[in-house]
Amino acid sequence: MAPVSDVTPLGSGRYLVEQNGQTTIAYAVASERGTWVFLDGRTYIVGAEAALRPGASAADEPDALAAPMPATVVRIDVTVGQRVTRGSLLVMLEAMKMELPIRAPRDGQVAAIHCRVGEIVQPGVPLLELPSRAESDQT
Amino acid sequence: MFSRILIANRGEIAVRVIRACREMGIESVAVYSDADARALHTTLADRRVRIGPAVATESYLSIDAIVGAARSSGAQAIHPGYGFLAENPHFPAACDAAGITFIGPPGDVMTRMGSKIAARRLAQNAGVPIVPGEVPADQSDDAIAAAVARIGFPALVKPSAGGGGIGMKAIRDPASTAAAIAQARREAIAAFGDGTLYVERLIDRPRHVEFQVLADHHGNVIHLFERECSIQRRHQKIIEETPAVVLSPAVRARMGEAAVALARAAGYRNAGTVEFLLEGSGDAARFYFLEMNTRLQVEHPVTELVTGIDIVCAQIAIAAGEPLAWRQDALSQRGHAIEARVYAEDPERDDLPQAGPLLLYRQPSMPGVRVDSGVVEGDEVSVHYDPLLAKLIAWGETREAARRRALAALRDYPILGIRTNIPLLIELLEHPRMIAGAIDTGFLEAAGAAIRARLGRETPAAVDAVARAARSAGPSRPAAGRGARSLAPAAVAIDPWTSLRGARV
Repeated sequence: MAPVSDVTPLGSGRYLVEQNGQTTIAYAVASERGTWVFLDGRTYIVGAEAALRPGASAADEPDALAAPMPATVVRIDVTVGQRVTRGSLLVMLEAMKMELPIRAPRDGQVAAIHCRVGEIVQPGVPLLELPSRAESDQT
Repeated sequence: MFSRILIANRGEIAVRVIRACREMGIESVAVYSDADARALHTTLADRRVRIGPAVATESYLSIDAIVGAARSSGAQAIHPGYGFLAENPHFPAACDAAGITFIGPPGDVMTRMGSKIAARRLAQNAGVPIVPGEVPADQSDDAIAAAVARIGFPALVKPSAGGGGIGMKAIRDPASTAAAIAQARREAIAAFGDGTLYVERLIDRPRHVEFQVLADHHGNVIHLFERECSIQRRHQKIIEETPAVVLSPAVRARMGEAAVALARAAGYRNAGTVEFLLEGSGDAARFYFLEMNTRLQVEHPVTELVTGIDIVCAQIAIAAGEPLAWRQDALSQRGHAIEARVYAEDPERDDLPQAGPLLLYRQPSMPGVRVDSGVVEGDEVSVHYDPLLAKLIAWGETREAARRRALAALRDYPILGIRTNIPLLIELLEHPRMIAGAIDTGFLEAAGAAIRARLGRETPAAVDAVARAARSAGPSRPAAGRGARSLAPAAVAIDPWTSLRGARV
């Protein structure tokens, strides 16, 4: 294990990090969305938002799929009851001039659709529901 | 010379033009939508005019609103920046009608060069080589598919009205043709309101090399050498440099002459860029005219750093009727410049655009480094516009010196509150192929997966220690009744340091 780093606040979000005789400047801000840290060209979020990151926990994803950011619904490619396979396109969003595909994170059956074409959707608000079921354990 | 100029844009380019005006002793007028009421560009200009709601079609894309703002503020000229109305031929026409000078080419030249068919014909007549391709007269999906088959695979379909890589789709086999055409059409209509598609041969592994030209109203046309923009993601440039590594002096001279010949043949005025695809390297390299951009380019600073010419100031002088201050044979390239575009997007998540507060934003400052930015700490990055936050441009005596400077600067460029592509830019600049200059436009697609895999490296222990120290200093702002998962712009003003003041630091 790396030895514990010595951190000295320098003010205005700057922190002096001393470790193994080496010094580095880090920047950090605590916010309601977790603590943001910048160190040597990389940004880290410690706490809250980490759970939002991809691959963090594919296993306990919620049933509902949400827009990652405010966006317009351009197209809905599925209907309620339709079976879909992992990776298939469910909803096409558009934001900042880019198409933003929402794909199925797993095999399953669409249980409900909560958005309409043309609607502006907010992040975190469910677009549709694709329940994760025990049978998907096989994959 | 003008005494007051309106800047019909936002973000870093509006700031760039405002600063040029100030240098030249010209008053600047900023315009803004409701989403930008506190944006940096509006705070730097001498005057500011609200032009509409956040939605761009009713603000930055509204010719009426912008010309109206120019009239009411007494501006004699309008600088369009890039994007938005910069390449809309109705805009210079509307300026003319209102007795306002448009800082750019005449509308008819814009129309001609904006049409890929007309531009190609013009290039052919001027003796400039072009890539085989066509705009099928019959624009049905079947006819486009037939054109793709005629031209052969790999082929490229793209919006005839387009630019910036939007709606551009590569087709490598017959099976994927229909889907690609449909998607290109949708994006063409969404982005440009015109679904006309253009089909051409895809030159595999080309380099994207473009020439900056300047043309005055007295018949003088010069070029300011090339820019290489081969590092692209979905046809969007992210790193640009000059000089181009593979360009031999002989090919550079021929391409420069071709660019000037084309601008002359087009009756071009002001600053423009002639884009070429380059196949091969050294004296044997072949180049093909791709298109002409009738505006200032995002990546113009690299040219400024190696030629010493301020392109924005030159644009204003040309529009005011002044003759070019430079002769071609007096121009040279000194050293090397690299630009890295800093985008509000998450490279670990398919480059998903990011919106949110800039809780902390500190630009690097060091020799040979320039940052053209449209934001400051405390700003809210909104979802309404392009995710470009800033451009970091490094100059060095050699390419390697410029690359090292760019890296050092990016490692000292903390942006907290939203994700940015800085980690990706660092990985790209450290990549062996980038170091060797062995880059073509397929580079990021080919090497992207490996590069992105490196982004997910584990968190160093020091990060947790710093996070603990920051948490004990207290949250940056009180909870504003928003969900913890919300990425939506906060309705409250952000002052991250207000609550830190009580902390012992």
